Formats: sequence, C-alpha cells, structure tokens
Amino acid sequence: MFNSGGMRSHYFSLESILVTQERVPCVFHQPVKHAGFLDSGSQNPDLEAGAKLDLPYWIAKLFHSLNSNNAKIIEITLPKIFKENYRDILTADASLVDLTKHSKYFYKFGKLIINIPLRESPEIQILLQQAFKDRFRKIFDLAQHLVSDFHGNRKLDTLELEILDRARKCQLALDAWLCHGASHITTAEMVVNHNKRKLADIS
Amino acid sequence: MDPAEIEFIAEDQMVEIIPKFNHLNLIHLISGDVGPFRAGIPVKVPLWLAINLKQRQKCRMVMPEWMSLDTLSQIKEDEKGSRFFIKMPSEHYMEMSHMILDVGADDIANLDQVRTLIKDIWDLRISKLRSSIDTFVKSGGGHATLNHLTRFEINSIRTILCDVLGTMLSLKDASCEVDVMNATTTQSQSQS
Amino acid sequence: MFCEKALELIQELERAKDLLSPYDTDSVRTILEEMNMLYEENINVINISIDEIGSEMYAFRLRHAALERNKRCLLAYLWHRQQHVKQMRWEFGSILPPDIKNNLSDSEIEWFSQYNRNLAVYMKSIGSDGLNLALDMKPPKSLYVEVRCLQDHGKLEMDDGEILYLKKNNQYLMARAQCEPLIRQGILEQILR
Repeated sequence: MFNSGGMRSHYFSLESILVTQERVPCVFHQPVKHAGFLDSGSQNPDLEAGAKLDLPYWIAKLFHSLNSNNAKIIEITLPKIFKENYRDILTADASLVDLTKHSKYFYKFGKLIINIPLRESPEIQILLQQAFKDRFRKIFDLAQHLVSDFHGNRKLDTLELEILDRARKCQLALDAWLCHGASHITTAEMVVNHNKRKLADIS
Repeated sequence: MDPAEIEFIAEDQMVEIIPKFNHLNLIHLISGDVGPFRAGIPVKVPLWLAINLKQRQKCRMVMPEWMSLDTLSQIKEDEKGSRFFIKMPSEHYMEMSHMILDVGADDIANLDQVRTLIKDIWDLRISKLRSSIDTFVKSGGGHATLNHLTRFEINSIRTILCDVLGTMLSLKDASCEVDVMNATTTQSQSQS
Repeated sequence: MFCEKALELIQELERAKDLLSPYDTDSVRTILEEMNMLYEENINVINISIDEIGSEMYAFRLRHAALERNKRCLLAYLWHRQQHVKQMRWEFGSILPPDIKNNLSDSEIEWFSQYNRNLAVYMKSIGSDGLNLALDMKPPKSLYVEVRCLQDHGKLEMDDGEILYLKKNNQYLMARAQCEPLIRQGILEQILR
C-alpha cells in the first residue's frame, strides 16, 4: 500500500521526511525565546526579531502556522530554486535542466512551497506542471531504450527517477518475455544484490 | 502485471488440434470438458492443453485462421493506413502467436514470415501507442479513448502511464497529499 | 540543531536502500535521549507560572514539533527495516545468510522468526495438505526444468528420498517445485532453450 510510485507521501515515507528538511529562507518578525541555536552564527540564547535564517521546512512551517493576522512571527520567502530567473530557465526548455542542482526533490519541495502558501504559489504550480509535462518524453524514452547506467543520469529529480525505475522494470520483464517466453525462473533480486556485495567484499 | 501472467490468461483460448491418439471418454476439467480425441479428427482444446500435447508429440496444431500470411499482411496494411488502432482478430494475438510459434514450429508453413509479420504489427501498434501517449501527456492528459488495444499492449505502458497521470493530478491539485506530518496544522485548510 | 541524529539515520537508510545495514543501536539511543530531554524541558515550562508561559510558548511548540519529528524518523527507520526483513523472507527463504542476520536487532530476529512461524502455519492450513505460497511465483509451464549448478552445494535430498550431490557446473533435470527455491537462492540457474 505504501509502495506505489508518484507523489504519494505517508507518515513513514523517507522522501517526505527528507524533503521537509529542505531549507527555506525566513525572516523573524518577533523574537523567539530559547531559539537562538537556530542561528548558528549567533551566541545569543534567544532569537531576535529581524533575524534572517535558512530554516528546515518543518521548522519554518511550524512558526508559519503560528502566525496570526495581528502578530506575524515569521515570513517565508521563495527558495532560490523557484526564484524568477530559475523559473525562466525552466520555462525556456525544461527538458535540459538539471533539476537536482538545488534540490533532489524538485516537485515535492515545490508542492510544499505552494502549500505554505506564498504570493508566488500559483506561478510555481503552473511551473511544476509544465516542467513535468515537458520532461516526460525524456523519461518515457529512457524507460524504453536504455543505456545501461541510467542512474548516472543525475539530471532527473527523485520523483522522476522513481517513475523511470518502475517503468524500467516493466520494460525489462517485457523484453525478457519477448526473448525467452514466460517459463524462466530467476534468482531473487535481494539474493543477487547480496552475492554481488559478497564478491565485492572479497576482491 | 508480469507478461507471464497475461500469457497464462491467454492459455485459456481455444485452438484446434489434430490428435494422434484415441481417447474416447470426455475429460472433465474445472474449466470445462475436453475431448473426445480421435486420431486425425480435429478437436478444440484450450491452448495450454494443445501445447502440452504438442510438446509430447501427441498432436498437430492447426493454426488459428488469423495466423495466415494473407490475414496478417492485411492487418499490417490496415494498421499502417489507420490513425487509430484497428481491432485485432484475437484479444491475445501477441501471447498466442508467441506460444504457438514456439512449440508448433513444424506445423507452420512460412514460419519466419508469420513471425516477422506479427513483430511488424506489434511494432506498428506500440509506436502508435507511444506517440499517442506522448501527445496525450503534453496536452495535459484529461481523458482519452483508445479502442481495440489488447491487454498485453495496455500492460506494456500501464505502470508509467498510471505513475505519470497520478503525478500530474497531484501537481494540479496542490492541496492534496501535503506532507502528512503537517496534517494536524493544515487540516482546516485542506478540508475547506 | 534538533533532530540532527534522526535525520542522519534517515539519510543513511535512504542511501543504502537495497541492503540492510547493521541496526544502529547508538543512534537510536541518542535520539531517545534527545526526546526525553525535549519532553523534560516542556514539562518544566508547563510548571512555571501562568504569567510567563506566553513568552515560552514558541519555544515550547518548537520542542514539541522536534519531539514529533524525532518520533516520526525513528518509526520510519523501524518500519522500513521491518519491510525489508519481511521481503527477505520471500527472497532468501526461511533461513537468512549469517552475514545478513548479524545486521538485525534482537527484536528484528524475533519478528522474523515469528513471521516465519505464522507463514508456515498459514500455508499448512490452506487446502487439505497445505500450499507453499513461495512456489510458482510465476505461472508454471512445465513439471521439470533443466538447471545448472552455480556453486558446490553438497547433499540435496529429493522429494522421493533420493540423494543428489550438487556440484558446480553440473547439469540436472529436476522437478520444478524442487529446484525453484534453489534457483531463487542463486544456487542453481535455469538453462534456457
């Protein structure tokens, strides 16, 4: 139930945990007692109003959820990866961009940012959809004709790699069937990995 | 699904064989009765049984009509000339021909030509399928109707298509499946 | 920074997805200690006078969120390992290679053998004389398959009581049910026509 691909996130999802660790730029409008440690450059035990920090999303989001209309604690601004100049590059030709340059989790991080929400959220949402559509062909082609080491292709973000991985497995099953038919029993995947590692350890 | 599982389903298709033995009593199987078998008299049996008998040299296989050169060439031309997928003579053309060509080789005239034609038809249809998916996704992937695809063909793209459409949906509807860790704090927003 | 160790644990798990690393007792203990500390600090806040509590609130919430996140990371760590252990039952069979078993914690070993037992009881209960669910992972095509031995495995007792000595590079014709587990374990390989 937790293994399906795509965007699904759940409580135990490693990706969900890791993507919520990505940092977002924040400005504090109120002091926060005992939170000085969040700013590694300061010795002060408390965090002063006006402090500018890059905080992990889960912390920023917490303070953001405590904002009220008359008292804003924190303001979150757009991470670099979704800034306008970067958006322009993506709009020009998304299929050539190395998505992993700023975050391994381009789409999932994008979704988190959209949901804060920020002023730019609608634009980012359109950007994410467009980028995914533009880059789909590349995944589709890679899945079918593979060059042996496709993980070497580091321009794909984690979500894209996951889709590619699953599609690739199906393609291999199909290719094997076309070659040998259906009766072939094979060694279990974990056993193969285990043996490979043992060999590597010996040599 | 694994191709082997779809092949397994295809093995229930009925084909004609000419037995080389006599067995006059009906054989009662869960899927239905087979027989009686009289040497030289054609009889219809499920493909899995035909293959088993053939492997033990107990019968000759009669090719399904659609596996003739004429029919296949016609299908190939139709497929080439049509923008859409044409209806295949068998829902399981790929799996059946694969199995029959494998074990029944000596019962088939023009073996290699048949093999090539089927491969050509498959390639034509798969590349048609791929290009329509490409257009479909580029256009935003709302919905599409594709008639006459066989189960085996659908299976070849099921995983990636479902993953891609699921992803596109979740990017479109940004409020769904926000990180669950924040479910408690964002509940009121996501429910609205 | 809060939850640093927990993050490391998760990163390590993600990095080595397809193998089971040794159970990281030390990190787990460190994280639990951090959680205890966060809990104690928050309890102290609750006990101070009502006038001061307002200014402590943000830090209080932050510690609570850190507590929850630590918990999430720990549970995710345990859950993913457990999934892996479960999958191994189906790929390696009921006996794990010793070098892998060494990487399991005591409770994981306990869980594995319990899972083994439950599975055995369940498989025995199907039909009149049981059904081995680990056999015929794909629809079977033939009763016998031709196999080649990949390693010197030694004695193998066949279902009919006959003893076979499996030697590297030898070829055999074996009942499918007999050789499927051995192929899955990488001791034999099927010879393709």
